[in-house]
Amino acid sequence: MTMTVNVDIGGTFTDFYVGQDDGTTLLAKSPTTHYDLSVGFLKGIRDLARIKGLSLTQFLNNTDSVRYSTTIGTNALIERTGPKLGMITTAGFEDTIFLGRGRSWADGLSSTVNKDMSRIQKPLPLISRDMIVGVRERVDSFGNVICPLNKEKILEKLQILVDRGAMGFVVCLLWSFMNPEHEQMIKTIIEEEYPEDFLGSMPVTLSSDVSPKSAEYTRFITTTVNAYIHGVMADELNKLGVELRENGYKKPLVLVHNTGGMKKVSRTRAVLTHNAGPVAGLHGALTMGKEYHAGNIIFSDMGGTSFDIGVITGGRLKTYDFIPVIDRWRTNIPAIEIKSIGAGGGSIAWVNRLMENSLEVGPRSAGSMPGPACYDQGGKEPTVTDADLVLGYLNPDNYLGGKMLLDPDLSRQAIDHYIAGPMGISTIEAAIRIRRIVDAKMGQEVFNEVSLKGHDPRDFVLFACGGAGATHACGFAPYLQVKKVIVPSFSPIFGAFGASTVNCQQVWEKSRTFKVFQWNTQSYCEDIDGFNEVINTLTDHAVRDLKLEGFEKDKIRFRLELDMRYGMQYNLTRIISPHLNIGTPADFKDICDKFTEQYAAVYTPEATFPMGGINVECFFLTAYVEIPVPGMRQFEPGGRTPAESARLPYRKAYWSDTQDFRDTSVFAFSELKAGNRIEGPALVEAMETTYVIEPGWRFSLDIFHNAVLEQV
Amino acid sequence: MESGRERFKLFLNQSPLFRPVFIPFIRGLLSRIEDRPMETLTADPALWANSLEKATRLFGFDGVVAGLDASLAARACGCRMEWREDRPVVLPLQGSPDETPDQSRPMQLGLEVTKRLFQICQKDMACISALTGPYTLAEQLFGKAPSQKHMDGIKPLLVRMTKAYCETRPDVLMFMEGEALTLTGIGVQHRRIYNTLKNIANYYNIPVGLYLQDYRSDSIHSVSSLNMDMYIAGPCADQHPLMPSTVWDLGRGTLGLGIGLPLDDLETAKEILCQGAALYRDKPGHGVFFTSMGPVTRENNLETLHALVNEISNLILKGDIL
Repeated sequence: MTMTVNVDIGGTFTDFYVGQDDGTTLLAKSPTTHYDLSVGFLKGIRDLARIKGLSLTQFLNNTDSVRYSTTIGTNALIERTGPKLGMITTAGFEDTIFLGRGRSWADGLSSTVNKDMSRIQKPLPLISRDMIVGVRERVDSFGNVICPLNKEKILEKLQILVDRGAMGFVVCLLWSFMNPEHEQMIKTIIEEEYPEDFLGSMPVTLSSDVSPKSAEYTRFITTTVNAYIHGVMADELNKLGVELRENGYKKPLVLVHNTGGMKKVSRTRAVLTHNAGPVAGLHGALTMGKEYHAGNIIFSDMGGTSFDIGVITGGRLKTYDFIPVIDRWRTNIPAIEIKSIGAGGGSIAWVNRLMENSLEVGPRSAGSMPGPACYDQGGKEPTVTDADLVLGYLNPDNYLGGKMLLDPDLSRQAIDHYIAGPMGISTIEAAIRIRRIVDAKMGQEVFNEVSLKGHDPRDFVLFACGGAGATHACGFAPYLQVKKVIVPSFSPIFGAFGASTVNCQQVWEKSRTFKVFQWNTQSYCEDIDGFNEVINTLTDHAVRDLKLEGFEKDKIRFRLELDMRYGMQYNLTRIISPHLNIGTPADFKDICDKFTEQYAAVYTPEATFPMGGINVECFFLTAYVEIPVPGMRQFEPGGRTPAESARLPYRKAYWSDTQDFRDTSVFAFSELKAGNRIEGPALVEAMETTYVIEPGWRFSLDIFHNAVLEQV
Repeated sequence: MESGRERFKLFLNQSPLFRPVFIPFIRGLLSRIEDRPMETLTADPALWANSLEKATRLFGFDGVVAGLDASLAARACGCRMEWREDRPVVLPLQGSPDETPDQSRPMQLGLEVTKRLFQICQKDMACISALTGPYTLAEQLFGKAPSQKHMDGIKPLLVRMTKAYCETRPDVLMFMEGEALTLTGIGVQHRRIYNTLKNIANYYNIPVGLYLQDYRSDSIHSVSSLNMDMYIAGPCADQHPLMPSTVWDLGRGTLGLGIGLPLDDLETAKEILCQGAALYRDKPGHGVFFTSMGPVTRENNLETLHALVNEISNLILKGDIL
């Protein structure tokens, strides 16, 4: 039997989902080992092998592919463990990355920190000013060479960077996305001077390769971030690859991308791995949503460190983030938008003395080390998990299936010392408030995310995922007034499950302006060849790339998206093009109609402005090969009433309707059958999570063994 | 032929062992080999690490133990120390303990030795880190029978030191305890403090061992309630060697037992070895490895030590499966 192992590294836990030939699945969770991610990775794989009754080698021998969404790159950025880089740019543009764009100094900061103008600091640059040199050259906005490069001058500047300790080069020239000739020449010169067989050989990253798009700041930053994390990621992934191979794995490691696809490590750009885990989760929700015929889905994932939100409308992942921020850096990668806030099981509760001793939760997290106080790993501060334990929702002897024993006394001590004491309230009252605050914070954030995009949350199905999703779903769902909450049986490891559903895919992009509609002449673009040439170039790149992944050309599917805007306007609107290639000018009309429709949906029909003409500014070609995803396993129905064997001993838990603790029914998830219904208040204990069914809510298990929570 | 590290990994994975693992605790022996006083040796991390490696290779032991200095944790917490007859003697703590022992100079030195040692040995030798256990440390800091308040104060200090040692990535982290641990019987408080330390080591995926010395032989089984990953029986209070049969059940539910061999009494050591081998065959369920009964000092007879290593190697030649 072969297996696909999917791994998602989170801030607190590393999640594992294994899909097997026969449709059965295996799940595991192990603490994320920030000191060396491969330790937690291999520990989880060992656990899976043990569950399967195999040795590690036997297990990996039978593994068809390992798909991995990693935070190695992001960690390298946060911890600043990347190499010293030198940048070569067009003379006069040496300060581009320091000038930034508008409020770029606030990029990546939470809204609370953002408001504290007196303390806010610009991030330390990834490349210091003395490591940036300008060379005399110029390509104009049409791609014509106005001022040629001088090799001697480049060698001179190169020497300056090498003398100052450069360990790699980033080449970002003006208009290089129109004509990359000069960037490529610089790369050739560097490779001639520092050939690969010399110890001094240094990697060269070109902006025209990494980000062939307009706007210098984001292009320069995207290229810099990619170069900065490339080496660290390559080392870590090579090490992991070696460890896997030594233990019997024979295939290449596959990385999940933040574009909703996956590629082999050898064919992946480092910058595309940022935030891939939550994007994989969103993709999983899309796949699972199809089983429910749900086109509008709010995806939420409450883990240990963060709460991630994604929105699916009309059954498509079409909401792209136009300015994805990685750490503190505004980039222009074509990533799928996921919003994250610091709210999770490990979020630390604290008393804000500057705000008259008000209680706050997060964004700081206890992470996996030291973790919540109840983990008994030396953590002192109270967290959301501690509050859940004190309120009786979590079973201290059956957390993570009993793999981790929790100490409720430590939770009580922590809440008492840090919250109840300073606020002059009881420990229980403090725990209740911690839970309510985190639920309100998440509920409000989801509401904002959906309603501010012009949607009515009541038209959506809410997917509550993550290790703490099932525990808090009834707490934050009322803020949205959604009719149905689905808590998938894989919810605690949903990011890993999502990784199993992604296709082999890459987005190829290119900035190029075409005036596709002229208002004054009421005519459409006539440069059909020019337009098609851009698409064909991207298609050629995509085909070559996916062939190297081992796929035949006829298996490759394409989707063309275009960034468009009205003439004289600034903001871009992305559409899915109805045509992959243009045959006649009438095809441009279809594109313009689609744009008008999309623009009207976002900004209202009254806001359309055809008088300005319509421009295409950027091309995105998504090339993908569909990887068959097995349908969800269906279970035999077992009636409405849970079997007696599913009942566990009653436990005292706090419920808001009576404002007191009372004996509460507890059920074992593993013993429940499809069709079983449980009225709240009740608790359902699964291997990796606990479902908290508040009074007034009903829990039913559907044929996929996913829990459906509804207010009754 | 398999390396000491591979052999020890078999032990940790509870796979069949074809030859016993032998990892004695070397300390005073180093000064004899290097011909320098311990005081000089331990002041230089490079010298200390190199001499440990050299001695281990010289005798063909299966692994090294770093941090085998009963005074180190106490000094890191602020105790002063004197060298008497080339042995460190901890002086009582003046004032309250240092809250960041992991940042102290003695601990930084100890960690540096450990890192260097593991860097050079981890390819082919088992690497074990040793750290004074909470009850022995409390006794060193606060005197006999420390109060619960003292124990509560010790916990965060040991948490920091445990994390620091775990970050050196040993194969096993071993806590060293003397009679202080079993003095009042093992209770909930003992379990609580050890649970915290085990949880931390578990985060680093490192098994935790308990090394016991100066205990009353009738009290040794009481430590089983601490649920450690392995127990290592050192010299008991009356200094008599402990026969494997008397402690074998302590290993039930663990990865295995470490049993000390008297290095100055080859015949008894052989007897212990044979009995250990027989028990391993007849009462399977956990592994076993051998160590020295207490640290190997400069007084130990090197010929006996060589003979013992040969004896252990010969178990393969005899076809014994251990």
